[in-house]
Amino acid sequence: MTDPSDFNPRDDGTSPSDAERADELASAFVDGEATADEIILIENDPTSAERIAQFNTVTSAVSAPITPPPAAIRAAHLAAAMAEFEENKSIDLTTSASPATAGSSAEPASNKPAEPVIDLTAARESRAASPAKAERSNRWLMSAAAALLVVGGIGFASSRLGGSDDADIAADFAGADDAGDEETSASNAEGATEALQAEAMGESDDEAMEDDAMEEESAMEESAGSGAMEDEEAMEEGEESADVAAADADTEESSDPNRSSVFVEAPLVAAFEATTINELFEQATLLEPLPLEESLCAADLAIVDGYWVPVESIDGEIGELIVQISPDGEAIPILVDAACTVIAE
Amino acid sequence: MTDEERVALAQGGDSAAMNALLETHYERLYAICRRIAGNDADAADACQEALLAVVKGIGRFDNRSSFKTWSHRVATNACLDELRRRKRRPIAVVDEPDRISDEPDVAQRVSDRLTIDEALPQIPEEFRAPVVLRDVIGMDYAEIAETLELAPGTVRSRIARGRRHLANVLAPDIPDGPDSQESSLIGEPDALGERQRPPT
Repeated sequence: MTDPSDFNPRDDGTSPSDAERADELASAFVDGEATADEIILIENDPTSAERIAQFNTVTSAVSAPITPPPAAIRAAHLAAAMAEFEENKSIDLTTSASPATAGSSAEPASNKPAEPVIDLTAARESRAASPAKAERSNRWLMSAAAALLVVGGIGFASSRLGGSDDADIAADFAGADDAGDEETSASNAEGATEALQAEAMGESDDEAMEDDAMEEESAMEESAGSGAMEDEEAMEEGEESADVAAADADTEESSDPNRSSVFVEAPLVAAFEATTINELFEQATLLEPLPLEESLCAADLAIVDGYWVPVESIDGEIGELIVQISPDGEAIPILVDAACTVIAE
Repeated sequence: MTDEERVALAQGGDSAAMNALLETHYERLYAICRRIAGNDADAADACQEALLAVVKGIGRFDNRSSFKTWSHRVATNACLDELRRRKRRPIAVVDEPDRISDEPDVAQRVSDRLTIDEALPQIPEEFRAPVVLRDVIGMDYAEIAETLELAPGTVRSRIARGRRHLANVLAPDIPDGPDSQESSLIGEPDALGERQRPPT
């Protein structure tokens, strides 16, 4: 039983006002959660009726029937969720099943490892066959006409700007260029990227940067080859049209006052387009790598050696490109979304 | 088959059980997302994230609460996370045409009022979630407290404050809100406490 004399302090520790106390009583009354003593108080208060009427109106509005989503959306939701379930299940069975647990399909969760270590090799095999992968990958790695926008150098930006949230900066930046808009068309995405390229890099830097990219590409080609995603072949056509651009913090200043308000001291963000995971990886090597300790997903994937850069898909979802360094020195790029789900390897 | 039994099977990898859980609770999860998001498009995305979060987390669900309560918590958090991600992006501002200075008639004033879909996103998240769980899902305060991991008293005050926000947003021209009207309960600062004091 709630003691009405013991009203809850506000979250900031201050006491509620008298009006708030009266609101609380009226609200609890509407919900049938008022105590007998409180009901007596309410019934003796001439203003309570007005408050209760207001709250009943609000409650009716909030509880109004909700139109269910179209059957196709519902089906897509459930299908994607079940695909994820199958994916996780196959990973879990591959990596954590033991003779004691593998035979029991109803094994309670409490008997399982709380955070199973994911075998990336097994994960790759299982994901290669997953129908969900292609669907989610398409959000990140589309054809050249709807290219991926990568925002990098965030860690550097964060340190220069005094602890700004990486994702905030990346999202603000992408939003300012309309790249995060769901309605953004492929051509808009390209246009935004081109605009970024034009600002972030001078023409004189362009050639040098392309040369660097070529060198990086050849150096990384072999090591990244083993992690190529299955969509790669279908996207080969788009690779040639993918541009590479990078900000040169030392030489180029943004002339856009709006952008300079975000990136105060220097243009710290590079915009890339990529159509495959390897292409993305090659371009990301131009960015300043961030330590795994700052990654939100590396630990989940049991990656202990490597680095990462933040990325953003064309529909504005922030993710990470994690480059895992295997014991034999192989660099394996892994693209994950904000929920740390592997999109492509 | 009960949710508990389905959960046990799903944790063991039974796809049919997992599918049944999702099918059974889909409407409620979508309803939470729809009200929290405020529009169909965001709700669809948020609901998808919520379902994925449920699937990813089912292995860690420990049955300390019911699946329903747990899934509502997961969905609420997934929806709020999704909306936070979207909120970080700047929104294009469209200049409104100059308002007509003539006094609008009653019908116009009514139509100008915000709908609940427009009003809910305007109230702070910490108030929005308990109001939605109460009025959309019909949870009692104890269930909401468990779902949101809050004290029951905090749930009670947040629902009240959320409703006050909504009342003010939905009908700002109503002159007799709590701030403009003195309650007899509140004539003195300790009036409530005084009234609750047992007779001596």
